[in-house]
Amino acid sequence: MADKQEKREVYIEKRVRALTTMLLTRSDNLLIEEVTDDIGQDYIVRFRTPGKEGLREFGIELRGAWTSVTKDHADKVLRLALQQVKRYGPFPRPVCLFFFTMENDDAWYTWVAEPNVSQEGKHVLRLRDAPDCQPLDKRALKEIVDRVDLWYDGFFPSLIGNGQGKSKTVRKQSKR
Amino acid sequence: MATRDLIGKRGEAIVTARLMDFCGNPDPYFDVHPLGEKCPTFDYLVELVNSGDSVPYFLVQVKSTQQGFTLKKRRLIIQVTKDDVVRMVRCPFPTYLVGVDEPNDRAYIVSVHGNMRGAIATMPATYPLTPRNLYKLWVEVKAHWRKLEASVKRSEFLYED
Repeated sequence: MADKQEKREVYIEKRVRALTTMLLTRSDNLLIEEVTDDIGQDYIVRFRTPGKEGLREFGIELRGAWTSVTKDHADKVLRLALQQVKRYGPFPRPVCLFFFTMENDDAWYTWVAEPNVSQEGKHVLRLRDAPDCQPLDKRALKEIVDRVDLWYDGFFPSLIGNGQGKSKTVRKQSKR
Repeated sequence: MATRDLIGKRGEAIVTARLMDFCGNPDPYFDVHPLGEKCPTFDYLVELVNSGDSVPYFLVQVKSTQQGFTLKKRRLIIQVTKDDVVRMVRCPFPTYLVGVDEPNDRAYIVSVHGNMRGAIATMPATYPLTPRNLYKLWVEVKAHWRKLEASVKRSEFLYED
């Protein structure tokens, strides 16, 4: 019985990966890396935006189940998954959790590390405490990509410092 | 990623998702094992799920296309070489060609056997990988393997001293 359940989970996992690849490859501007190591993300998705600098990316962790669910049920089911993924953090990129059900091929997503702007205007990743599942389809994927894109617009400038990095005084002190 | 690679990757995902469709059952009819890029002719070994102690399987070549269908007979436009067709026909296990209409996420299956000898340029869209056809495929492959008798196997390489 346990063996049968384990096999069933393997089937679900395989199919969830296939459905994710199907969804992601609908957009030909996305570079998709399937992660095999245990880093709390099954996919890293990268893209460039015409007219903007820098390679932008986000991570995806996958979950699947047999029974189809409502939003409330999906939020409940993914609560534990969200906590599990958060243990791998902090993350250097935005991270989403995708959830597929086999019964009717429904798909949901929730942010784990959500692109956000703090009150001080800093571009930060907010680790969610609870899932807020939204239906996942081609349109939702575009919204995710647009949000990540916008976040990097503000995040990249905060990473880059021109010149030798430290202030003149600090450089003088370190030479002594 | 090159466009051709992307179509191939997408085609593989569509085939896996379709063949492993649970069709409302607790388990899918099939478990799909990719054979890797270096394997000639065949792309997947597909095992039958819940088919008893001996696990029957079949071999699949996948062809993905963005070219769509012929106008007259609505056949999916694909390319399979003559060598591949001959190899598939000669294989004693069930062998199938799966054509993927990539823009529409749909996959069609056809058996490659019998007197087929030449290259394939189009395939019928008569058998989409729907739950009904998946079940029929499961029954067909299981019936083929039932004819094979494990006890008739002979070998020079014996386990006993």
